[in-house]
Order: sequence, then C-alpha cells, then structure tokens
Amino acid sequence: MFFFLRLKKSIRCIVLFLCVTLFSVNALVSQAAEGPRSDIIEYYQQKSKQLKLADNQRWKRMLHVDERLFRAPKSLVVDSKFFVSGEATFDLEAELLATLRLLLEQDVTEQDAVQCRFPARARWLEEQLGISQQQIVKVDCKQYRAWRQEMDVETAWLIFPSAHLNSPSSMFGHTLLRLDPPKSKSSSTLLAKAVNYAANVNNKDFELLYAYKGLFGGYPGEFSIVPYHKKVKEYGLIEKRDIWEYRLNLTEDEIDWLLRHLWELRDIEFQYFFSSKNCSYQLLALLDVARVGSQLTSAFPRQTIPVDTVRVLEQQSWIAGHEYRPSQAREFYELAQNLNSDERNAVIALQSQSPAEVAMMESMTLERQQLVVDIAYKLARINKKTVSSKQALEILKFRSSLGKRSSAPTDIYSQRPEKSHYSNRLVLAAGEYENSNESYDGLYVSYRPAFHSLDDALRGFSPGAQINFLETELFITEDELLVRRFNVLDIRSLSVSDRYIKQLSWQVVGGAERKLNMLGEWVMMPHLSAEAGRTVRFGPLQAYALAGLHLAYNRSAGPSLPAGPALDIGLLWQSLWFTSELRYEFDYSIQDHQEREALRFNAQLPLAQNWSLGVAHLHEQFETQRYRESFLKLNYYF
Amino acid sequence: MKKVSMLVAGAALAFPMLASANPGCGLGSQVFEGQEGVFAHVLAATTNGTSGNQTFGMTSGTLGCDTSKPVVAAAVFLNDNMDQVAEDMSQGEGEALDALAELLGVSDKDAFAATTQQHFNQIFTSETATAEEVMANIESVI
Repeated sequence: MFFFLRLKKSIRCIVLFLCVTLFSVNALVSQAAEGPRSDIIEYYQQKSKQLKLADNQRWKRMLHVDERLFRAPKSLVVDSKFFVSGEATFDLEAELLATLRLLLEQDVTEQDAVQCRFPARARWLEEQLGISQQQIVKVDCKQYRAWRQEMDVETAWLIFPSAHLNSPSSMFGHTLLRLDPPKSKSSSTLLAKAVNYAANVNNKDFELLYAYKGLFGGYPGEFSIVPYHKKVKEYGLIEKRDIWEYRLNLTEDEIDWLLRHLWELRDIEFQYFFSSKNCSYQLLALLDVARVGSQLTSAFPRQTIPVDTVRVLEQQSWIAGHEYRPSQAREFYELAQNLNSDERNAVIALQSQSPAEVAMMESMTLERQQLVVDIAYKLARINKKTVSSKQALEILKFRSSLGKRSSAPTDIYSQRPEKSHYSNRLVLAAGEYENSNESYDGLYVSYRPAFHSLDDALRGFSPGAQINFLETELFITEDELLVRRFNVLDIRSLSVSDRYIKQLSWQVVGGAERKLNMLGEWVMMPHLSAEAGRTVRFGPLQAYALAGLHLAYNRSAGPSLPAGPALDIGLLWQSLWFTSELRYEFDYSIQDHQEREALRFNAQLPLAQNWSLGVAHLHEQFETQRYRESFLKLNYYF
Repeated sequence: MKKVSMLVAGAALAFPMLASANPGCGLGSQVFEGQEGVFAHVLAATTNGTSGNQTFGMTSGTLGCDTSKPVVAAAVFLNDNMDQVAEDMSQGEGEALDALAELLGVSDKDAFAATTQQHFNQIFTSETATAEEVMANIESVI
C-alpha cells in the first residue's frame, strides 16, 4: 500500500514536472508569438543564424547563386525585384534576414508579401524554422492563387528540340520544360504549357551584335510560359528539328516546389550567356530547386550543351520515359521509303498537277491513295517556297474525299540523342609524316571542347552535320612540339538534295593551320574559307561538290594575303557502325598564281559510345612541294 | 450517323457561336502562311532568343482575345495552327484536330473529325481564308 502511495506521489511529481516544463516552453514560444512583432522576428532571425540557414544549399539555389572558387558568391539574377534586402552588394545572410522580417511583418500588401511574391522562399523558411501558420499574417495572394489554378500540373517533361542542320548556333539544340495537366482535365499535349528560358534581345541590334551579345552576357534572359503548340510549330515545323520529350519523375511535392519557384522568376531578368548560363542551364537550376539534394547545375561549371543536360538528367535518375516527335522532313522520308516507284512519281506529280489529273492514282487501292496523298502534302509544305498554297489546299481537298486512314500509322524511330558520344573529344594518334626533304615518326594529340564532327560516330546525330569549336592539334616528335592546327570554328552542313527536296550544302572554317610554303617549310597560316554547293546520295554514299572563297595569311612569303577560289569535292559514308570520307580540296591564290591541292582520307570504327578507332591520311601539294602524313588514331569522348 | 450528328450539335449549342462572341481581336492568319521572316530565324539561331514581351501564363499569345469563351480560345488556337488543323481535318484525325475539339468542348472527337472531314471543302474554302472565317465555317457544319 505504502509502495503504491509512493508510486502515486512519484507519478504526480513527474506529471507536475512535465506540466511545468511544457508550460514554460509554451510560454517562451507564445511569448515570442504574442509579444511584440519585433521579438518574434528577432527570435526567428536568431534561430536562422544558429541553423546557418543562409549557407544552406537550398537557399543558395533559390537565389541562383553562382559559386566559384576564390570569389564572393554572386547571383545570376540581375534584377533588383528579385531581392528583398535592398543591399547594394549581394549578401546571402542579409537577404535571408530581410526575407524573414518581411514574412513575419504585420502590415503587408499582396504586392509585398513574401508568401505571395516568393512562395518557395516562404515555404522553405516556414519549414526550416518551424514557423506556424498562426504567426504569419494572413494575406490573400489572389494573383498567385489564380496562376496556380491555371497551372494545374501533374507531370513535367523536358523537351529537347535537337540539332538544326542549317542553322549553326542551334546545331547545339535547345531545351524547355512542358507542364502537363492531369489527363482527366486535358488529353492534348499541344495545349500543355511550355516553360522556356531565352534571351530577350533587342530587335534593333544587327546580326553580328546578336552573336556577340548572346555569347558574352549582353542580353537579359527571362523565363516565359507559352502554349506548347507554339513551340512544336517553331521547332518541328518551321525549323525542321526533331523533338525529343523526356518525362521527369517529379513527385507531387516536387512539382509544388517547381511551380512556387517558377512564380518567383516571373518577369525576373538573369544575365544570359549563350554557351554557359543558357536555356538548358537555367532549366536545371529550376529543377535543382524542385528536388531536395539535386545536383544538376553543379555538373555544368563551364559550357552547357543541351544534349549533355539530358545525359545528366538520365544519370541522376530523373527520366521516367520518352517520346519522339519527328520533324516534317524526317517524317516525309520515313514514309516515302515505303512507296514504290509509281507511287513516288505520283507524289511528285501532285506537287504541280490537280489530283484528278494524276492518272496513276486511279490504279491504286484506297489505302495506297491515302498514303500517297498524305506524303505529297507533307512534301508540299516542306517546299513552301516552290509549291503554291493553292496547290497544297487542292491536295487536302482531294484527301478529304478519301476518308479516314485504313492502315495503322507508321511508327518512326530514331537514335536517342543522349546516347550519342559526349561533346569533349581527345584524340591520340601515332604515325609518320614526310615532306620533300625529310620524314618523321610522331604523335599527335588533339582536343576539342565541342561538339560533333563528320569523323565521329553518327549515333544520335544528323548525317552530314558538323560543328567543331576550338579544336587544337599538337604534333609531338622526338625533338619538337608544334601546334599543328587551331580552328576556332569548323562547320559543315552537307544536306542531301534529291528529287523531292533541294537544299544548300555549305561549310565555313576559320583558324590557323600548318601548311607548306614555297620553301617546303611547314608554317602556321591563319585562314578562312566559305563554300557552298550540293550534296547527293548514292546508296550509302553521299557525294558533295562545293565551291567558294579561300583566304590565307602567309607570313613567310613576305607578308601577303593570298585569296582566291576554293573547291571541295568528296565522298562521305556515315553509318552507325562505320564512317569514312574521301575528300579533295583545291585552292588558288589570284595574287601569287599558286595552287594548293590536298587529298584526305579517313575511316573510323566506333568501339563504344565514347571510344572509336580510326585512320587518317593526308597528301598535300603546293607548287613543287609535297607533304604526306598517315596516322592511326584513338578518339575518346568525355 | 444520326446519333453522331446529335452529339456534335449538342456540343455546338453548349457555347456561343463565334459570330456572337465577336472576338474582334485580329485573328488574321491565313490558311497557308509563308515562312517566318529571316529575322526571326537569325534570332533563334544566334542567341536562342526571342523578342517582344514575355508571357507567363494562359493569356499568352491570345492577341488580346477573350479566351474565357471556348469558341474564341479555339479560334486563337486555329489562328496559330491552320496548317496542322487543315491537314488533320482532311485526314479525319490528328493531334491538332483533337486539341481544337477539346477547346470547343466537343465530347465526341471522332464524330467531330468525321463531320469536318466530310465538309472539308466548305470549311477551308480558299488558301486565303482567315482563322475567323474558318472557325465560322466549322460552326456552320457542326
């Protein structure tokens, strides 16, 4: 009995103790909560300092901090609207304390309230500091609420319109996000919303200035949201680019973070850099905020090539599936493959004749007629410049009389771009070279940061397209090390012309390369050449002939600037398992009446995604001087 | 077929016709417009840039039209996608046609596709027809 009494007493004590403790904790918090606002603000500001929230990675991400070694952290946002503290120099902690003050402030309007302007920052601070909703003054965020209602998002997709052959800068591709509503609400992806980051350029700037400003941060970059169909039209139909769509495995909560932060970026200007802090980089920055612990942007300290961002997303397990939207031209060729020669002739005839006049149509079954007419229309739209709108409409009117397609549509497949070789290339080669006087054994090493060359593996790229930036080649022999070549830019766009589609092939190369001079010496000559012509296909081979202008600076011949016509003829074989090229180049200097000829051959065998083995041979002749080299090379991509 | 027509008719009556909705907001695209200007192309190529005001939501690209009315929203979509809608409609199926049907609030998309294919010549009367005209023609056949 006594024992029980003791126990009862002890329990009572414990209960009493607990009550007192709870009361005092409660009193502290309620003192902070009910006391003057300044105390509450002070309390949470102190707490944020204890927790070192200003150094938290997520806080840095939300402020788009660009962290570099030996430099003060700086935000990539250049817009004062984005910062609360009003400090002249960017300060993570000052920004956090000011945001916290504003969040807990009593008299705020919708315009100023943190929870309305910066809903991601507000949610994060509330969660990190355990701020309850009662402590935050209720503000009705009408605009944000209306926007969230409009942005009813279930899934997010990364959209990658791939390389564009005839437009050098977009050969790198572009990325955007697509936000789909729940399937029950809308089944049309065309009506989904596309989130796009782009430079907002000045119409009045002339073209070269675009390129310059685009590269060096001269334009502001901004996020925008447009209906997806506008983007499909822009890339797939006007620019003839294949579009890849990757479904991201974002959870409902991560989508909430994404939308909260996207709202924070409305009308906010970043500094735009074409090659580094570009569209693809800023999309990753947005995704980095959406997912806790995500490490996407940190994979891109320097250049950000869109296809590489797809690869990183895949490596970090963000991708849950993909879809492919072939360009109009791609679709046309895939479908035309299934036609016999009569049907192909009918497709051509339909480009200029009234469907009723195309006699060969009559002997076809309804199913084949439908196919032929569908293909003919696609061709008419690709050749907008030569086939009249009236003719295109004639084709459609005829098509509408043929009923619904009776055969299943052909599925079109393509090599996924992220399975292609990586953008950095290192070449190690061993071989020999000889000129009229001497011969050497040697090694050469070459490095190229971007992007793809005709002698690289084709997988995931368009045939005939090359864009090489800043390729540097070094020659190493027993007693010397020479820069053999430094090409700033080397673009080739060999688009095939056939009876259906006529396209220009062209190439531009500029840089410096070692060439023979009159004395048989091998000297570095700055050069620039631009050529245009046609490419045709013979089975697996593409044959091209281009003509243009060549300019070179030859210091050793007494300063002279030999300029003159240039010619480039060659055969190209590109397949997934083998690539090869035989190329004859000729240029003539009008000033010195001198001819230079070069015959090149290369062949490559891809071994794996990022490894290939090849041979290269060059035979050059300049007046009486000759030069020859043969190499065995190993290409590694990273 | 009778049932099908009923469905489409029902859908058409569910919202005001374009004529009464009076969009009056510049739906001037013709069926087959030419290519984009060289300017736009160079722009996209050199900087991945765009010019003009950036938009941040549904009202984007609506040319100042009141898209809360389904028929106006559909006309705006049509204005942007005349080529694709015409192609799909002639074939009696397709993604752009489905999107148009969704904006119009049509419940039976197959029936909508069949009817518009059948009346294609009345809908796309000429290559210079504007989105507004085409929309009015669609309404007159469904």
